Amino acid sequence: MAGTSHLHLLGSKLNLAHLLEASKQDLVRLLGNPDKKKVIVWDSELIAPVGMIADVQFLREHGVSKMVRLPVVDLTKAYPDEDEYLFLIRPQLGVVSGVIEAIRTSSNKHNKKFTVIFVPMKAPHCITKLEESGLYHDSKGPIQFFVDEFHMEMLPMDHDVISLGLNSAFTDMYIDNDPTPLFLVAKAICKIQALYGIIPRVFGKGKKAKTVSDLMERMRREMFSNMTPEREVAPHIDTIILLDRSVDLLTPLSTQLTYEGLVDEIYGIKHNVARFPRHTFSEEFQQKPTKAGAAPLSPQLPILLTSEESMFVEMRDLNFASVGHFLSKEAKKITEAYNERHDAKTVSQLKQFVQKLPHMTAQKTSLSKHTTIAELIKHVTDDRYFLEQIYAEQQLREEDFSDRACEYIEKCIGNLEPIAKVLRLICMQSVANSGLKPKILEYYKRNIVQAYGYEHLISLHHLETAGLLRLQGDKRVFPQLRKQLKLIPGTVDDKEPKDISYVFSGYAPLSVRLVELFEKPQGWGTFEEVTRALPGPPAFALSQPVSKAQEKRQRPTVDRPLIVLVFFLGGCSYAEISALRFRSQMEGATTEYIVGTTHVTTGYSLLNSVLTQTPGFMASRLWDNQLDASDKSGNESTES
Amino acid sequence: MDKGATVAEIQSSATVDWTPLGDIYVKKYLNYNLDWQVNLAENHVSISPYGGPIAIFPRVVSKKQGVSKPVITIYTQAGKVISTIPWGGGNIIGLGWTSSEHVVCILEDGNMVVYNIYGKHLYARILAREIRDDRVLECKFFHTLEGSAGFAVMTNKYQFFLVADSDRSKDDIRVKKLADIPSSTSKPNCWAVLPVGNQVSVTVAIHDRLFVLDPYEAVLQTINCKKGGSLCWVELAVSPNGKAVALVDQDGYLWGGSSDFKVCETEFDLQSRSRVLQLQWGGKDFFVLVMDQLMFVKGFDKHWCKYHLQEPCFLLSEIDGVRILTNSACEFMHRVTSPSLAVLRIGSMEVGALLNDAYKEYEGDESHKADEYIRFVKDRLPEAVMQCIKAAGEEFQPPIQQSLLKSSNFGKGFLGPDIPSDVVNEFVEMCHQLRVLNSVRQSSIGIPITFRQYYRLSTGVLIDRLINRGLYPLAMEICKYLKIPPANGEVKILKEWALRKIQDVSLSDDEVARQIIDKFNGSKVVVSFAEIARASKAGGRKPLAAMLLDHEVHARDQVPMLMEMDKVDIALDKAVESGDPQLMFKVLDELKYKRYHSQMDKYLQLFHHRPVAAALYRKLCKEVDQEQLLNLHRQESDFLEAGCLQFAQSFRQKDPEQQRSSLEGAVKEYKDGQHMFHLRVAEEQGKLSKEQAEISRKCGIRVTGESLYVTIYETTQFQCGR
Repeated sequence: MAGTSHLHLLGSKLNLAHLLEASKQDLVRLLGNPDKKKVIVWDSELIAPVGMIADVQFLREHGVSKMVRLPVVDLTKAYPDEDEYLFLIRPQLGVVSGVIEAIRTSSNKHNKKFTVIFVPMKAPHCITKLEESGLYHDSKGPIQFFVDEFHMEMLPMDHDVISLGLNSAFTDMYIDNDPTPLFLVAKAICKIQALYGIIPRVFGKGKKAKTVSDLMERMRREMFSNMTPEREVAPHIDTIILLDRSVDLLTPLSTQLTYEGLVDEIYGIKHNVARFPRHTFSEEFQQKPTKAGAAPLSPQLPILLTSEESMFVEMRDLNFASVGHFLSKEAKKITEAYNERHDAKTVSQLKQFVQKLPHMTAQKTSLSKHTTIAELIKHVTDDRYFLEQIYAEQQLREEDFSDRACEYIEKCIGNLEPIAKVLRLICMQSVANSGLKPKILEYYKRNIVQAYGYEHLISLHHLETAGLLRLQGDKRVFPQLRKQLKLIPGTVDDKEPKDISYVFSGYAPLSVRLVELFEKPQGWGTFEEVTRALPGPPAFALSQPVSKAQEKRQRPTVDRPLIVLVFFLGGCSYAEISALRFRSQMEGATTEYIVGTTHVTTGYSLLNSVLTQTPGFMASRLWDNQLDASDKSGNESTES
Repeated sequence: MDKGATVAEIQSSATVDWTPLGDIYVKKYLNYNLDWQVNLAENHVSISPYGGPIAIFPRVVSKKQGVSKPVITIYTQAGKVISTIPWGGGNIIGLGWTSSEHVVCILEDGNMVVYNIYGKHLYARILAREIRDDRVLECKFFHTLEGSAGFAVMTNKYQFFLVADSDRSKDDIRVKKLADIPSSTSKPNCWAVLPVGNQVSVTVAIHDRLFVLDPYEAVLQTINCKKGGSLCWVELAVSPNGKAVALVDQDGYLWGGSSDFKVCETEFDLQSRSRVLQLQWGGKDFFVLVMDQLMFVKGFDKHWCKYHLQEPCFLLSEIDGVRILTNSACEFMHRVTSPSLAVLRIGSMEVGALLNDAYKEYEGDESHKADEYIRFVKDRLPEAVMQCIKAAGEEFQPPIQQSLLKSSNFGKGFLGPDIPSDVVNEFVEMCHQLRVLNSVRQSSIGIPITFRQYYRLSTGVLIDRLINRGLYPLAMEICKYLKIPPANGEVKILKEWALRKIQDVSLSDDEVARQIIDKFNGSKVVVSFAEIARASKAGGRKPLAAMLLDHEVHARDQVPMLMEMDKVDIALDKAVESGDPQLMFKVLDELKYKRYHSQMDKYLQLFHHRPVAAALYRKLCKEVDQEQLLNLHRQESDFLEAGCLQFAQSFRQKDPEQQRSSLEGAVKEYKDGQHMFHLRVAEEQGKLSKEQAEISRKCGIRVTGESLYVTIYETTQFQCGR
């Protein structure tokens, strides 16, 4: 479980720890009387996210004496001394069945209290299922049974990133048209506004963005109308930009080439934790100070990746090409620092040196850790298999593929390479050419169903619904945007980047280019003009009334930058976060970006989320052959 | 304040109506002159405490009036008519007030009838069967220090019944029968309610015997009194805090002491055998007796004073004094409190008085004398300032209040930067409160509440009372002035205003709706339209309810009510607009299971032109009810989705027969929708699985479920191998 020190949330102009505090308060309310002993029954998926808010110690202080995961049977027998049983679950039918089973099989239900807590909110069909289960009564009479909600709508992932952790948001929004994620986003933004003040300016593009801004307006009227002006918080955030993912589908499909992006692409980062094969790491990572007789170490080593670690802060946003150079520089620095001990002659000099020791040791551990990770990644990226794909992606983004099939894709199909990879490339071709000619689309589709099975007709159908795959329309927007926004700037220096295009080694993410427009005078006008050709209704701008005089503030300066919250509806990638960070940290930058997103995604997880709706599809890692074989079995193991 | 008058002149009037009564002073203050043409002698009178309204009802219904019915008239204490209630009911025994200022009439037949202050009939109920059977003989109302109010009745059988809280709703009124008085059939001479906290009881005097009755027992009390000879109590009064009682016997012997009769505080011979008509406590400090043309005031020691009465009067005990109502005046008599004594008593050497003197001198241009006084009190200046502030609070007249506040402000000036924060707070607070008090005391409002009463009552209750009287603008101003949170102030006032507005049948629905909408939308706070709409509906104004409901911002309040009102389509639209999936589902669910249970076609039609609701429903069906999902797609003529749904199903099914039928279903949908690519794929899948079964059977290799490429590859491999 990730630690609950909130250091990683500090360091930006906006203290995101307030967000955690709000959730923590809600949790305290749910836990209730700390004197009552309780058991928490977890939906395994929630352990990590809730763990980011409250650690074991905190839960213990509020009366939680035992924790267990679903599925479980006969709770009251297993934990007879506890008075209350809290189920923390997501609103999913399968999970609810587990809860019903756990309670139904319990032998001694009276004098006990059962509470089902949905995170982040109840779902009607789950409630119906609970009601139909007949748990509210048994032969001996009514049972103390309650249903509640834990409004953990969002999690600050880092000092400048807020995620709602809605991993299925993309498919929910673009395939099912489910209104739920948008409602949750609007609620989250409302909560942000309650804590950090009304955001005076709202910009957005895309149909979903419009929906969210309408909901925001509505909720603002509902929530803030009865607040006395004295209680209103002065605005901390100046602007919010709502970006509908459908505005830029190319970026999430592209393979990220930043350090953090590649970790996510290859190993996957979940709630700031990535898991690596343990044996590849040096001695110090092998043994955890656990008590004797504890369970054997999992073959996977979980590593927390947040800005709490100073070395990671410096390297997370780097293009991977410069990571090696960075690490060797760091190694040199540490060696030099150690060597200073020889120069320490006087006691005070020695004392100075000793004071630096803990920091140096931490740096050394970091260095060893990241060197190993970098080696693991390099192993993948040096492979022909990877390089060919990157090359193909570059080709697809840069060249006109409107009336021909891509040879590399054909080759992949012939080799029956993972379907997620193939479809990802086909979708890239479709998006980068604003759709495919009927002949080519049908050619691809036919090949896919014949090579991978006819069931993938469903996959293709979903991709078309989501707009990832489509027939070419009259206007070819993308090539025009490519020129207009300099998406492919030509020369890129990966080591000393001058432009955000370094995150994809030569492609500047469209989404971030659009955001950049606002840094210039007449930004809104340009934004409106540029995005006119993009799908969805025209871009919108509105201002929200702010009671205090803060509205008219001076021109932003380096010391008092404009704070802009960029909210991605439908997910964003680490590369985009890195690109925005790059803008915030540029010399003379007068804008600081905070990223909000439904979830953090990669092209691979995006495709997988679509494909899992196809019968018989089993997700597998793209670079499976590169990974340790023991990984697959290790998926189940987690530590708490 | 009159510019010419000096502080000294103004303050000289402050002490003129002080009357010494042993250790204490009492002060009689004229709140209002009344020109209301009411003769108290001929009427039942009931005053609500804390400056509340007065209810008047003729004791004897004059036959002369003939045609016109008798009326209960409700006045403010300044004698202004608030409302009249034509009375056609039975014989009224008692008239009183609840804590939220509703009028309660207790009838001889055991009925309790309640009106609001506007004379609107709220409800009537029989108190208890025994009361109805035995008839009510007497009735007494009481108010507790905690703020609740109730009454007790005595039946013709001399049994007592108690209602401890008369403010509850009709069916929640609890009537408790008290224990019978043992072995007595004679009529009690006098009785009173002892309102002590939750244990309200009744004290009854029969000749010389005293009983305290509660629901369980009647206890005979022994009274600690020195009077020899025969005792026969004729009047009995309980102090507002319920801790002390006063008794008068037929010989004019007055006894005052604790309410358990064990401690005697004062005994006195009135030396008059004329009948004591009224006996009331003035707070907890003195008592007032009314005899024929005489009002007699008595403290705890032997001192007393008396006033001649030119006209009938009516007394009401308040927590800090006694309200004296006559045909022509509304007065208040109270003990002069210590801050007032300290500052204003002639010859007082308290620090407050010295500070006050200092200011007088300063104003009179005798600054060296002022300086001398200040020097005198220098060390205790905060205390002096506090005394002046507190003394200001005790005064009714704004000029005197102002003069005392000026003195305190003058003293504050000498405290410099180290001024204690509680002094500053007290000053600001007092200025605020006096402003509120003065505004409700003006005769157009007529609530002559004292500072102490206001403090006990709380601002919240005072505002409630203003709202109850329909004094919305004043209530609003006070809330804004005191910065009361909108939920307890502005929102509440607007809500109550609207709730009253919708009862106004003289206005059309459109007019009422317009007024309410204008007022609500014109205010900065948000008031729930749904609540007003609910009340309109309950009051039988359904069209008005619909008009109001349309303006509700909170969909969670609006939608359920729209459903109640049968506005299904609007309810669904509003739920969709709110974006709240839970709310949308609630509507959909209710419609599905309650309204369109047997008409699924009609239900599915709801999704026409409602893509968001349809998407939500589809999403739910996807998880729980695929059959229903298929119906929905068919209803929408979405052949592609319907086909894909079945096509996907065919892969999930284990049974080959079911697989085939799903596949056939898909083929049909694709054909109907002219989706040629899909159609071909579905047909090929059918052929492929047949072939695969054949290959598996013939060659013994498993190719079922594999793709076309893999099947061909495996088959060729197999053949090569042979």
